[in-house]
Amino acid sequence: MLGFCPSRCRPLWALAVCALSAGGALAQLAAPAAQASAAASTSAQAPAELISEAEFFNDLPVVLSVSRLAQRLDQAPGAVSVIDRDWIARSGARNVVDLLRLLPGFQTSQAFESVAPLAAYHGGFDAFSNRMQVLVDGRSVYSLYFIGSSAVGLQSVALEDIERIEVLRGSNSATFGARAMLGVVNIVTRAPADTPALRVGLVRGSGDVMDQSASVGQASAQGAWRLSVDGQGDEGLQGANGRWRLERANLRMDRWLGGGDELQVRTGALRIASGKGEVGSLEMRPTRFDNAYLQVDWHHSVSADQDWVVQASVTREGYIDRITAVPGWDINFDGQSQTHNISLTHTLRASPALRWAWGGEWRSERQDSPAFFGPDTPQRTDFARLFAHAEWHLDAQWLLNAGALAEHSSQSGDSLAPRLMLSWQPASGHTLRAGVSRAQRPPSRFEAAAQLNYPGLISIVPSGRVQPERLIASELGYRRDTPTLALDLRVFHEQIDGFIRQLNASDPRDYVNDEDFAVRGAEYQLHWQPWAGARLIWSQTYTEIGSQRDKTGTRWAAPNLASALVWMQRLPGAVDLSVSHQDSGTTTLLGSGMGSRVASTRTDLRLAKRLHWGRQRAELAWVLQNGGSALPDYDPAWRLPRRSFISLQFAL
Amino acid sequence: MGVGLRLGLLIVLGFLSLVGSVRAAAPLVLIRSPDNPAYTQAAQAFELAWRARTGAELVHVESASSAVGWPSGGLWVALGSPACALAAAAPQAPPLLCALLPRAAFVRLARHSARNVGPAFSALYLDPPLHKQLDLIARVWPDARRVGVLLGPESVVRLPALRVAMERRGWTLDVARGDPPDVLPQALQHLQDVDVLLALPDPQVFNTRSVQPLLLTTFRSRIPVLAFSPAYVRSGALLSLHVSPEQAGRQAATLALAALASGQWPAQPREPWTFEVAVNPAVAQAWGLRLQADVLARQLSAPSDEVAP
Repeated sequence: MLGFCPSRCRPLWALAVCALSAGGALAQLAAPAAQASAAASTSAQAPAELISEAEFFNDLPVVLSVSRLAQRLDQAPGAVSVIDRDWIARSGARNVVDLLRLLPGFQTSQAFESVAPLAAYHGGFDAFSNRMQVLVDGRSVYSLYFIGSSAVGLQSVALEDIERIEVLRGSNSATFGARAMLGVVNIVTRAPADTPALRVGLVRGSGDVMDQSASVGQASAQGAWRLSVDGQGDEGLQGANGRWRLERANLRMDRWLGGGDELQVRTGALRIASGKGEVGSLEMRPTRFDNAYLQVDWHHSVSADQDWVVQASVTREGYIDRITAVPGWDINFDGQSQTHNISLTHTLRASPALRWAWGGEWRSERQDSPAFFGPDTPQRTDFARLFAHAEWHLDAQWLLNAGALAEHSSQSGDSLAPRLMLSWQPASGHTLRAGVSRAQRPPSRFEAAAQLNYPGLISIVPSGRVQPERLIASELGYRRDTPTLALDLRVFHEQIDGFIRQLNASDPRDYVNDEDFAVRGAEYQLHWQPWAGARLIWSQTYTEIGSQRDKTGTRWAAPNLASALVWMQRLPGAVDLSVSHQDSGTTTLLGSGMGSRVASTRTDLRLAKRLHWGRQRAELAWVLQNGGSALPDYDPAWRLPRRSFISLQFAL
Repeated sequence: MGVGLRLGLLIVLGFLSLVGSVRAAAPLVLIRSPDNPAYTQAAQAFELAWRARTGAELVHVESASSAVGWPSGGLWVALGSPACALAAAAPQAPPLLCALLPRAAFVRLARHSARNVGPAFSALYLDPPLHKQLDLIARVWPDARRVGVLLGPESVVRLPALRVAMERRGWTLDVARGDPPDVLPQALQHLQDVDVLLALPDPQVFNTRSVQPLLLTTFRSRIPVLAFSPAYVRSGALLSLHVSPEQAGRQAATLALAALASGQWPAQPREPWTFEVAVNPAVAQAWGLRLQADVLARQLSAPSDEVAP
């Protein structure tokens, strides 16, 4: 598929349930044994298992058809950071947010107060991080219930199941949908054929850190599957009612059909139980969030130069949150949501110089929450989308990536998000990029139509006048690639018009398009292998948010300067060392806006030893997170403490 | 259909020429296996090369279910395993060269035949020599040191020769068993650290069912595959080194012309000496490789099909 993520597919299809039963009942469409038909016609024929010249002359189905060959990083339409399997395994991180923290331009929080740890790109404007698209194997996973927050989606799969995390730092709605306003995080899971038959992991440490995970899988010539189950938890941030527990299960089944076709089925569920509210306050309470999904992908190779991908998915969320401590009030934020999605993508290599993809998507979203929408619950929005993009090598040095997404939404009407990026490679290993794109973020259902009414306590009843936020992003980029070094520099100007804010001064509160401002700056990331066994990743971001509303904290939603260094070193004796250091200038905390500007640094350390006996592999690691003093996180009164834990992983 | 007509005509002409000929030399009989176009391509290339250099008679036959009815001739060339098997089994057959078949297939045929391999029963193999495959790896990846192979019951016989060739270069060989088909994914996991996967044909390891998991997994692991047929390259392998049917036909003709003079075939079966290289341009581009198939083929091949080195 065009764009840097090979597994992003937008299909069009029917009930996922039918897909599951169809997939289960799918007989091996194994092609007949590839033997020369010549062998069949003489009495001296060789049986199918014996070698003959047929191996050399018979035809084979096309497997690596055009959409399976991802774009190279130096030809991607933007600045791409890749967190690969090696980095994930050696980082000591317990979730994806802790890895995104080390990329240029990200602001993160480990609090579960806004359902799950948050990561925002180019501005932690609020506790919902909904200006970034998060995909897991091509399925969009923003939380419908929580104003499009990407937090829950980042928890979809366990770290051990992730092959790599591709982050496009920059707007690309043309390829990734209307929510890819400022950036895209694409989580690609490991193929079941690549994972061990059995894996078990255990993490124990300070702060009641208690994680355990296991996965089993099987691979054969026809297909492979993997089932992973894991649980994580700890006592949360100091000073918060933050004790949390997360449980998750994911199943992925790949089936190889004849002719180069493939069917993939994914399903899983996630539950997060966490505390919310200030300790000792009336808002202190337990909450529970559940989600479950089913996704089916079908890849059909027509030829080496053409293929079709169909994807269908269903996602459900449920939320339980009741505040009973306020006398006279029974506050109940319970609710559910559902999303149905089906899309189809056709990719075609029209010539060696031109590759393009187009397709369509239909999406239906439904939210049911009496607390949020009053008598108008459930709320339903339908989307129909058409998209196309092309990768055109104008000549040996010039490459044009162009695309557009046209969307019709039952809530916001019609919109168009075009994108253009021109790359020039004056010499091998040097790439210059210039591009511009337009995107928008439609107001969530809550921002447009909430009826949250607890008079005297809190009332949010938007007038509905709020319009989509619009973005025009322009960037210049430079990339240098050598066998041991990769540098990516991005200079950006992201003009946001109609920035949506909740007006707290009015009663009831309203959501309005409050301001136009630009996010400007530059960021770079350097990936270097200076000597044997070493990996060095260094990044810096300069950001200036041009908001003039000093009372809102928006201007400090990203630090003026943030840097991060990661050093991973293989030592003799199967020992592995990694150190990471992150330094962030003054910025607001994600949950707190104006009252909370702090600068912070954080240093992590990991020491691991690998053990082998026979075919089994194990790794014992000690991790120190935040070796310095406790860091303010989410709320000025809450702290991310120093933590250390031991992790043991065993694989067969 | 045109081909069939043409062949029929050739057979009639051949018969007439047998009857009315003043030539003393017995014709060369070119027996090709049926059904696959590769045999016809080889036969046509053989004939072109033959006619360009001699006026001696050439008779075409398409093998059916037995050798009954085949002209006796002075020399026989059989193209393909079915034709070779029938020819080898025919009693009182003249000296025979089997061509267009892999080494393992000929060795098995010879084992079951009453004939002894030698000047009266020889072969021109279809598989390129191992050292040429390693030469190609060295040209494309000068820093490669570790080669992986997936072996099955038919290809495991190559292992000793492979080890010797690897040792000579100071390379490491990673071996995994690719059969039964269900162990393929685990076998590929064992080959994670190789620089290149060298595919040696074996129908139990490399077939239409295994091609998908094989190419998807090696592509994900960024392990290039050096395959043995252009069909594999079209499917997604990066490279292949192979002999085209036309090249095999011309090389067989070269051996046949030498045998015409001496009356016997080479004492030892011959390996091919010219090759073709196929490159998958999209996969090469995805990995940032610039490969020129024809240049590589020229560098590995002898100067000409017509002169056996």
